[in-house]
Amino acid sequence: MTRRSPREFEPEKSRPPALLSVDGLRVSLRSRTRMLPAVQEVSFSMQRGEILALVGESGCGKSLTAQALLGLVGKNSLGQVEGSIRFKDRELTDLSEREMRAIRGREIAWVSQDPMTSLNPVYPVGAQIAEVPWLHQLCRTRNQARGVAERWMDRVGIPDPALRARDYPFAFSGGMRQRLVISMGLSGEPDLIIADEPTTALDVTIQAQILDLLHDLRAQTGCAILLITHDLGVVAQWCDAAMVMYAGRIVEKAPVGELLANPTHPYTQNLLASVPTPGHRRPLQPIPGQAPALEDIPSRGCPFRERCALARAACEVHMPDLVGSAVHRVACWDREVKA
Amino acid sequence: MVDSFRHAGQPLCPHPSAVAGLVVLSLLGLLALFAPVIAPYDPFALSGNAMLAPPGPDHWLGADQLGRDLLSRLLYGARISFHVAVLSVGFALGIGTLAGGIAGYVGGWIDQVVSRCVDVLFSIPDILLALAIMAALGPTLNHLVLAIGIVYTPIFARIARGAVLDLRHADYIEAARSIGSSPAAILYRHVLPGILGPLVVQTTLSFAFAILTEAALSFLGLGVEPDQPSWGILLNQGKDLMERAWWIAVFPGLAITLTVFCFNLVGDGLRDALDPRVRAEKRA
Repeated sequence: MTRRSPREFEPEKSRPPALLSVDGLRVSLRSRTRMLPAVQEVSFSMQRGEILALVGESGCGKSLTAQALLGLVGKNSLGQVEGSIRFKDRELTDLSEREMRAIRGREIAWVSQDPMTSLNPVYPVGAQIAEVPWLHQLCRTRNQARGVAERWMDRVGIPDPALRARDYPFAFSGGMRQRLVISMGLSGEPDLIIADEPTTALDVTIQAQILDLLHDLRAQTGCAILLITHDLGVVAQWCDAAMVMYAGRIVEKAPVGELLANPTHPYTQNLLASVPTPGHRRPLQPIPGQAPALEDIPSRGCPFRERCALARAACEVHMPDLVGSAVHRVACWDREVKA
Repeated sequence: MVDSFRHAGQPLCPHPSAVAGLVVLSLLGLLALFAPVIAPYDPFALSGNAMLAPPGPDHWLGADQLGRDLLSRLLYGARISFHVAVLSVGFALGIGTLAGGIAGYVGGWIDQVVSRCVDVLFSIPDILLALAIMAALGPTLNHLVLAIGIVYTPIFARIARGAVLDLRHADYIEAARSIGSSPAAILYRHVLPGILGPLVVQTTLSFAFAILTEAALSFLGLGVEPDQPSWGILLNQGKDLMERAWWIAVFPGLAITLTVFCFNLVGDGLRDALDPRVRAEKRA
């Protein structure tokens, strides 16, 4: 294994302490026979106001990573979370369920994938949004909480919020419902929003509106956004930095401009090659094979080697470390040899 | 826009038939409640003069072969019918919802045990099961309540289990967890309202079935004690005299039909009123 040259250990520029820093996160899910490692060795940090993308194919562990941040896996018999999640100088993995409840919605909010089903059909939407400030005691009375809900509905662009707050979810279109879900996420005034594919269920035009909205709200409130997506177009246009995930591991991490200009991991390169570019007629290159199912992830070596054109002997044996400069890191033997 | 409609807040108003059903049922309920005050005669008093008297000014609905006033007997019969219906459906609702709800929420072997018991109860025809229980226990009012209660328990268990299972993995329950709601709050705010609609509807419809079952069992001689003026017993006594005195069988039959019909009207209305989607269509 080639050692990293010392100049790659440039000390990071002195920054304010990270809002969130995840170190060596592992999430295992219990199957009938053994614990399956679904997320392995995930480490990253986020600053206030940063939009970080978590990119990867379906089933590669993106949502599970996010659920682990919220403490929604691992507290039951189905899974196990190891590693460290530091958020605003607190170690989230040490907190009790009760303490985590105080954080969910208030400090870390979740905007879910499917706005069509994540609102309870039997309550008016205003009451559901008001639940967040009420639950976290940001308001003294239910009426105040309703006022807060209406203000947030207004801020996410729902016309006539005072009237619409009394409507039930079915009375809203998909885009409007996603705005509602976002306003629900924001009404606790969180420092971090985890948006799990917030636009997957929406039309492309609505998609742009919703992402613009998230972008504006980030500017207004200074919250950080962890955007989970499989859409590289979304990453290119709206995110500051991106992490590419494959089979539960982060294989490449870089600022978005750098990642798109200079993709280094073969998986990232393949991903970019399989996205059509309007105006350019070039053959798309699908990635051969498919991402391994949870139970088929090889226990050693690089999980991408089976689909990788550059696979070599070393890939069979060891998983390469995530190495590189302070800003651009990649986990690939090919890259390490070149360096 | 239809916005002005949406805040009417009177869920049953667009369903005049359900309101009518409710009014009639309330009237019947009051009549049953105040039967001792309203009834013109003692329902057990025999009268030699009035034997098989047809409906007329003295006996509005006529009298039976022993001269007992049919109206008075029907009013007292309503007490029995409502008594049995309310208690037995209450029993079924309580036990069934609890068992089904726990089975759905906890899952695992508890769910297996409850579900298999429900399947076994479901596989026996209602009336046969009730007959068997009554034959084993003997015909008294309390046994009748128990028998009908047991017969309708699996329906509630199945509804509650299905609804809870549906909800347990609903995205909005997950969303509630992700905003920091506690499990108790989730059960109260999200699971209970979600299963309440189908349960309320089923309760109303079950009242109708319970009244029918009570009448059927009493008709067959395995209901309340034969000296009680239950609607089923009145029907039974009237059947042999149909050619000579039609009123003895027809009026109890009408009473049963009217009550069951009204419960069904209210049940259907409630089903529509409690479903926000149907509510929207009606208003659109």
